[in-house]
Amino acid sequence: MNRRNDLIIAAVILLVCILLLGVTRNITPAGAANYPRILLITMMVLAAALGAAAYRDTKRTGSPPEPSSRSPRPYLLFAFCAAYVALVGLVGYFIASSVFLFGVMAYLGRRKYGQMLLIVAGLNLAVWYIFMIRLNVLVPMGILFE
Amino acid sequence: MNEYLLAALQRALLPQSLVAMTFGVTAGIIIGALPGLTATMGVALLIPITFGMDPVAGLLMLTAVYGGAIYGGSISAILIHTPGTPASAATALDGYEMTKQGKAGLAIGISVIASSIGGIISVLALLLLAPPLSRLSLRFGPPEYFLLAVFGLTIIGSITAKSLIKGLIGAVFGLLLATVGIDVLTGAFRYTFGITALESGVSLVPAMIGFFSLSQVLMLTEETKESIVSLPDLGKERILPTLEELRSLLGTILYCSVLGTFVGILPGAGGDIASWVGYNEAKRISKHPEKFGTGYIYGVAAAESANNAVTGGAMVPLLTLGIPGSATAAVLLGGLLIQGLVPGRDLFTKYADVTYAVIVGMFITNILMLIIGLVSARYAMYIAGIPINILIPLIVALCVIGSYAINNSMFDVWIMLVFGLIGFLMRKQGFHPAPVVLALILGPMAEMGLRQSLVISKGAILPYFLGRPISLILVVLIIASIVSTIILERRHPERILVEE
Repeated sequence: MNRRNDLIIAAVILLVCILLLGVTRNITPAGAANYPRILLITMMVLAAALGAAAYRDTKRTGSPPEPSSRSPRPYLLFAFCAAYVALVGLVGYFIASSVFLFGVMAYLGRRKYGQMLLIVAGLNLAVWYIFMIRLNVLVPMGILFE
Repeated sequence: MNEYLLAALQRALLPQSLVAMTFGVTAGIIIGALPGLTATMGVALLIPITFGMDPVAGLLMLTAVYGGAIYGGSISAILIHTPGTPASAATALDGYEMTKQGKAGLAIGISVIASSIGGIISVLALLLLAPPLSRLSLRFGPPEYFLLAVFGLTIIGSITAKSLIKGLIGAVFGLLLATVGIDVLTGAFRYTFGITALESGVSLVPAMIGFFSLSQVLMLTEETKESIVSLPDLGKERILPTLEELRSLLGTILYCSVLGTFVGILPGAGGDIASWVGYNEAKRISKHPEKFGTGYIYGVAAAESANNAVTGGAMVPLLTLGIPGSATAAVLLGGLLIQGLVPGRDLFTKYADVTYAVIVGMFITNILMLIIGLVSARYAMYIAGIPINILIPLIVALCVIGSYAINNSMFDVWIMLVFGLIGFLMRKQGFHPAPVVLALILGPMAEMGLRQSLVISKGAILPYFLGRPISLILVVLIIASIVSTIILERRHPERILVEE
C-alpha cells in the first residue's frame, strides 16, 4: 500500500472527525450526541494509529511511493454515471438508460452496433417487465414526459 | 422441528419459489463465471427484486445466487485459468490442467457435482445445528447485543481489509453512517443537514448496491480490455464422470464438504479459505499427492465441494446470532432484515415457517444447481466469454433501477452513486466496503445495546459486562480476534483477503 496515501487518508479522517464533532454541539437533547462522539473519538484514535504506522513505515523504507494504477477510466465512468442519473430525472429511465448503455459500450470499445441495440432493447424490456409489471415500481419517466 | 419440515417443503416447492431458485441459480452461475464479478455483488444487485416478493421466494433467490456464484467461479477457473470468484482459486490448479488435456467438460461436470454435494451436506448441517444454537440468543440482553455487534465488526474488519486498522476504520465509518437520521430514543436529528430524505437514515439497500456493485464495476473499468482469451469448444467433450470415477471421488467430496461446512461456520472464514483447506487436506490424505496440480479430478472435487459447503455453514452463525462471517453473508443479513426477519430464536419459532422453508429450499437449490450446471456445461464457454464492455453499463443500469425501486426515490439513486465512489476509493486504498455495510446494518443494534447497558448499569459498564457470563465470553472473543489478527499481520504481512 502507498504509505503516503495512508498519511493523507489519516489526515483527512482526522479533519472530518473534528468537523463532525463540532456538528454534534447542535444536536439536542445533548444525550443523543454522546454515541456519535464516542464513535468520532474512536475514529480519530484509529486514524492516528493509521498515520503513525504509515509514518513509521515511511521512515523505515525511505518512502518510495509504490506505483499505483492511475487510469482515468473509473473516474470518467463515474462522471458518465452521474450524468446518467441526472438524465433519468429529466427524460426518464428508459431513454436515459438507452443513451448511457450505447455511449458507455462505445466508449469501452464495442463497435457491433446491431448487437448493442439488441442489448439496449433487452435491458429496457427486462426492466419494464420485472420492475413495472411484476413489482409495480413507478419507474421514473422524467419531468419532460410526466 | 419435524412438523415444520413438511410445510416448509410444500412452501419451497411452490411455483414462485421454484422460479426464484431457478433464476437465482442461473444468475449466480453467470455472475460467478465472469471474472471480476463476485457473489457479494450479485446478491446486493438482486436484493431490490426480492423486496416485493414473498419472503421465502426472495430469500431463496438470494441464497441461490450465493451458491450458484460460488460454483460459477469454477467455470472460468477451469476454462481460462482465471477464478471467477476468489473461492475458486484452488480449482484453477487442476481444472485448467484438465482443460489443457482436453478434459474441460469433465472438469466442469465434476465441479458441479462436487459443488452440489458440498452444498447439500452444508444445508443438512445448518438444519441440525441452527435450531439448538438459536436458543442461545434467548439469553442475550442489551450488553450481549452490543458486544455481539462489536464482535461481528472486529471479525469482518480483520479479514476483509488490508490491515486491521483499516478494517476497524471501515467499521466505525459504518457505525457513524448508522447514526444519521432521527435518534429513536430521543427524537433528535443527527447529521441530517436539513435534508428530509436523511431523517429516516441512510437507505441500506442503495448503500449496499453502491458499496458492493458500483464500486466493483468501477474497479473493473480500470482493467477492462477486449477478451483475447481463446475458449475451448466443449461441444463433443464428456461432461459426466463414469460411475467408477464418481464412486472413487465420493469419499473426498464428503470429507471436504464437512471441512467446508466447518470453515463456513467459523466467523470470518469464507469460500476461498475453505477451498484451500479442502484442497490441501485432500492432497494430504491422498495416496497420490504428486498428482495434485497436474489435472487430477480429486483436486477439482476437493476444492469445489469445500467452497460450496461454506454456503450452508455460513448461514449457521448468521441465522442464529446475526454474525455474518463474510461480505456475502453481510449482504444476506441485509436481505433478511429487509423482509422483517431478525436473526435469533424468533427465526426458529415465530418465523419458523419462513426459516425452514428457506433451509429446505436451499437443499432444493443445490439439486437445481446440479441439473442446470450439467445441462449448461457445454455452453459454459459462452458465459465465461461475455465481454466486460457489455457487462459494465448493464450492471450500472441495474444498480440505478435497483436502488430506485426500494423507495421509488431518486435520492436513493444518488446515495448509491456516492457510496459507489466512496467504495471504489476505499478499495483502491486497501479498505473494504464489507465492514462499512455490516456496521450500517448492526449500528442501530449496537447503539441501542450500549445505551441500554449504560442505563441499566448506571454508568458502571465494565463491571456490568464482565459480570455476565456470555458478555465475558464475547469480550474475550473480541480481544482474541483483534490480538490474533495483529499477530497474523506481523507474521504474514501479505494476508489472505476474504471476498467471495
